[in-house]
Amino acid sequence: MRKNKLFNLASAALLSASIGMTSCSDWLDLSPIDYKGAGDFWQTEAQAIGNLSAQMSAFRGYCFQSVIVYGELRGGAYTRSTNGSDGSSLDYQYLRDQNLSQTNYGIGNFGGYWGLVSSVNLFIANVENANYFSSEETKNYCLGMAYGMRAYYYFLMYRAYGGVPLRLTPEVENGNYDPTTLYMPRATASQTMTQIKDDITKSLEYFGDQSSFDFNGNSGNAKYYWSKAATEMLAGEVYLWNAKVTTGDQPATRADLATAKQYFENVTKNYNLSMQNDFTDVFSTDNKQNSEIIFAFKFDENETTNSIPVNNLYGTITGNTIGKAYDSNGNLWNNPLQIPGTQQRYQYSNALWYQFDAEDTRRDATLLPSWHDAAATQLRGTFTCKNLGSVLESTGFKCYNGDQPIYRLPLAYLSLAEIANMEGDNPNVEHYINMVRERAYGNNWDPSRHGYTAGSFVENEVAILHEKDKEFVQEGQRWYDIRRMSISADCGELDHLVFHNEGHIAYGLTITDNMKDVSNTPWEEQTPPDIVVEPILTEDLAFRVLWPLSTSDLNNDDQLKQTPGYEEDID
Amino acid sequence: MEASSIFNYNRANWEKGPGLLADTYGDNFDSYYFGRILTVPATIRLEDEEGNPVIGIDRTNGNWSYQADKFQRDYQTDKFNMTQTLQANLFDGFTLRGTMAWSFSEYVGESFNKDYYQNAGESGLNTTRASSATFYRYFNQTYNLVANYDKQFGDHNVSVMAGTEFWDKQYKYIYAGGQEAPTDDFADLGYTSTEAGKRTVDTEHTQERIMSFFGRAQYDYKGRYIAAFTFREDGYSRLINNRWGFFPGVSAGWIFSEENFYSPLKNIMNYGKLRASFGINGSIDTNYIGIYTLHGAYGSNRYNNNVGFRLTTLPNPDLRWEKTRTAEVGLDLGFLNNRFTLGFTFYDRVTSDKYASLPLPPTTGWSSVTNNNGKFRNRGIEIDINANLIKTKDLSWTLGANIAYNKNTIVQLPDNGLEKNRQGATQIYTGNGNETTYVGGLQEGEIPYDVIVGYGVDKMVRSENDLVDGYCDMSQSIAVYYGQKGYQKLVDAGWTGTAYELAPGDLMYQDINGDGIITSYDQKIIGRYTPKWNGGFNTTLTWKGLSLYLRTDFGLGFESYDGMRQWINGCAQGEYNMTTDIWDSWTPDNPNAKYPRYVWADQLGTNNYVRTSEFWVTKGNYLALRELQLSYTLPKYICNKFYCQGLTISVTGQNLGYWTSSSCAIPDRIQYTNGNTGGYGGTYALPRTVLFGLNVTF
Repeated sequence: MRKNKLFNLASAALLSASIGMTSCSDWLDLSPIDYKGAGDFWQTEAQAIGNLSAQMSAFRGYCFQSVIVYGELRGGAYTRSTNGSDGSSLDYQYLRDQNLSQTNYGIGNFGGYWGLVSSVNLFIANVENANYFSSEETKNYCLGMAYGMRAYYYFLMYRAYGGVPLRLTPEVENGNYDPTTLYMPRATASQTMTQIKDDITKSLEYFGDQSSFDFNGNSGNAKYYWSKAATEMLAGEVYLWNAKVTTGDQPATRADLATAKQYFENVTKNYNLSMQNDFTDVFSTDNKQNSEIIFAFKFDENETTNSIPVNNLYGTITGNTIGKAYDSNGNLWNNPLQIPGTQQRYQYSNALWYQFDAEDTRRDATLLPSWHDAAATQLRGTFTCKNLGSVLESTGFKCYNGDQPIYRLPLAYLSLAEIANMEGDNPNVEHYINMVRERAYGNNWDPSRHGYTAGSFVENEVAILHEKDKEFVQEGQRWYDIRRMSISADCGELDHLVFHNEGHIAYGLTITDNMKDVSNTPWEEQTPPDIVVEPILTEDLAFRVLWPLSTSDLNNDDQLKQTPGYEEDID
Repeated sequence: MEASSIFNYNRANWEKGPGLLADTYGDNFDSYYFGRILTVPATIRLEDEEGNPVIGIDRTNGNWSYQADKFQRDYQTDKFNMTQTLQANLFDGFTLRGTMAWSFSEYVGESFNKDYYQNAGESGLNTTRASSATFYRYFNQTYNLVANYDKQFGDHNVSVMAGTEFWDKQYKYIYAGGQEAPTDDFADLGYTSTEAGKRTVDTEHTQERIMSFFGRAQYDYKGRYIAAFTFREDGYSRLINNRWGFFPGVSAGWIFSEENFYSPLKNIMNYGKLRASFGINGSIDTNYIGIYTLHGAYGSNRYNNNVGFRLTTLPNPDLRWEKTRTAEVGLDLGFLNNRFTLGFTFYDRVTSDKYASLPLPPTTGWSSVTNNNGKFRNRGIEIDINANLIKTKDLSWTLGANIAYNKNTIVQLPDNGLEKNRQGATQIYTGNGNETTYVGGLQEGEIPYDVIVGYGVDKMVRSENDLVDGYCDMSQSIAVYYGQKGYQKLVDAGWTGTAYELAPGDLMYQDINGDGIITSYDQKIIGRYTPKWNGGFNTTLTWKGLSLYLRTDFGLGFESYDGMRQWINGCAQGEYNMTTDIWDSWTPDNPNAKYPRYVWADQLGTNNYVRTSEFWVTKGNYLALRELQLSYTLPKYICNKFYCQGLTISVTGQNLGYWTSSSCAIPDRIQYTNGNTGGYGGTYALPRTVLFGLNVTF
């Protein structure tokens, strides 16, 4: 009896266990509760639209790198000193010195834009054939944005690296985790340029005639998201660049000049854009999304603040400017900009300040000078006050909540001036430069003294460059400008301003004995550095117009080859 | 039928450090405090003339007790466990036992900043008044049922066990934060500003489960021959398609000292056991997979107040259990009636399907995916000894020691087309012309992440005579050269950056490939992190009622590199203090000094201190004095006077120190080697503790 009982008990237990086992796996089937796993996405329009907001947020994360590191640091407007006038060491010394090599490579992995590129690829792959959109127009607007953004990323990489790997499909997201099949070599420069132009064409096709800035029908989103106007600005930039710059096997193509002109003119005419009357209004936090902005990254004190202005300033706690230097009124420096504690890591050369005319309202709106002496004769160094945002009531300090414009209207005008110069059209060169200048001088404008009169090709080119230098401080133009602009309309590879004195930030200045570069100590105590006009790059180092790959980039993918000129003799 | 219940309650309240800074630095708090703050200049002013705290240099590098009362923090956890067990003896030798355990762990944290001054001059008041409250709860449930059958049949002993267990863990979290209430009097979240973007709220939920079936069967004959077999079958919700794993094990033992043939030796070696075991264990490395990681994730981002989702984690439904198969052979011996015992174990453990990040070409947009990456082997030997050296009526002395040798090698890595399927290795010259090799990282056949790679040092320049025309070092962001020939090499290589001339007090580095220029490939292996030998010994000396106990442990065969010290001595932070090492640094009056010339911001000059080089490597071998205890047990007749059966008083010292040549203060903490620590890299110091004890038995 007992034995039977045992047998019954055991078999019952075993039976229930085995039944349990089949439904066990269900009991263990648990999915995320607060977000979608990878299998559940791309089912509704709201998800797709939301994905674009997430992409913009990620794109915004690259703002400083795209604008300052790639766009400005090598352009020669920054001082070459190791230490700034505030006493701390400045960043990116080897970029400012053009001292690039496989070990001094700048940013690794082509700038790391690949996450943004693969997001676009995934979006296109899933949305192109989607049938859940409320209207075909909305879907096309979104696809127009996606292709436009991808063209932006590839154009930025093209200008820095020449040919890059062309990732156009979401291989990994589709489940391919095998690195041996994923390695991809760099395409040639011409293949890359063709791809950029393709993406621009597709973007404009999808946008059709939807020229509204209101993403998702919401005017609160205007100018903060990619738009058709942004694609046309980008197109203008791409075709203008390709008309003047030869890279690898992609020759400068003169015919692209007319296409570029068409795009820039479209931007000035078709989108109800107009320049603000006052230069300071362009960046005011009370005047966000204004008529001059085409595309800007949104920053505010709650979501995230703009990192570009933060380190171009004096330290309020450990800096040497406070308590030692003088402002232009002869008063001891005492946090005139009302900024919170920071550390100076970037500083423009004093030559930039000297280039400005005292009557140009942009000077005081952009740079705040500090002096060694109360009489304001020894310029110690300048700080950039252009876009510090508004004062936050709860702290009493500026909070860097100003938007960062990527495209605004004067860029179209000055690009048209450059195109006019290439076409030999002097009246239009004057017209466009003076439009920007007139706004800049405000009430001080006197066409006879301030207006530009056209001269030779190279004189016009330098005038446009200097106009951009004053208009677009901290907006990522200078490195591209000196690489693209040229001493001759032939645009030979060594004609570009980067190889000539005309590309130097102090070119054209009459340098007197009391014009020196940034210094931390008064000139009686230590000789300040001189301002010397010389080419940014020497011709024997011409390969350095492009950036190198790092050793780990080459190790991570053995099909990648180093940018020509940077190869090391190592196996 | 037996029932037992256990209830357990635990409450903890704690501080995280001065309010605002603990928030800013989070988990890095310790490394920052014990790094940078230790080196603030000695001239720092932390109090004013009246003794009130002042800010010091600035809030992050100054007096952390300044305005501490402005930051209200309240952290508490409550843990409540209940276990209920029911055991029944159903018939002879057979027991059935069921257990149910519930465990709640709850956390409530609140934080509020009153108005505080932001700078030394007390001119700027921060009125943000950030207020937040967090609550989360973990709820663990465990249910198991185990059946046991133990029976002796003559000389045969049989023991069988089978069981099943279910485990469920739930997590719920809620957070709310706001700012800018009209006054700083109250932390109440209801008073915070209702403007758009000023408040943050969040909730989070997770749940995971494990289901297991297990069993063991053990048999022994006369207590002399022993055999056992065990198995486990586990299913874990964190895995998806390969959720179940079967893990068996088998072991056998032979107490050969019981055998007839052995009896002649029994007087000397009274106990001898030979044992062997083989088993497979499964594990899931929670550093790589979270509760839902394998499902992939579309994480949220916010832009212009619009929330959207973007693929942030790749799905990985086919990931498997990590399996470790262990084979072990051992010998336990007892001598002179167990007066001395000796144990040897040799083990060989191979972990296959080990989780690691599989690197993908970064241009795909993804740098890696977690995969069952390869096979690792852990092989070693453990020896332990116990001895009763002296045993008399009043005096006894025992000694115990153990030592282990372990080697960890990579057997196999996923095929990625590179030699040895390497991941993350560094390329350096071998010393044979321009030939190069890869060291470090993960490579098949090598120890993982074991090497310290740095520059070799020829010598320190002590006077002008040591300078060599033609020296050229382009490996750092600032070049170092000497003489016309050295300068020419820079020009030829297209160096357009800053360059300094070598001077007395600098180090001259080795040019491994002999081409006259030092580059980043001119490095070599300057040390290995992982100790080869580990172990410890303890000893007790007793005389009458007095007892002295010592416990130590040691590590041998590895190198230490104190990156934190390099940062400090290189004056890399700026105007901060330096260690006493600098008293013996090169100056014209002290040309034979031990250390290079001390300069401001060495990493922006010739970089002698901050650069990783063999000059700063020290042997890590250490002996740690963990515990020393002196105790006295009062004799019985005194105890009786106090109406108790036993009375012992003791004094114990813990973590008394290290006997080591390592430059690191805590040699057994494997440290960050690079000198460029940014002032971080310190760690919570190991406190020396003295304990006084009184033990009374009634």
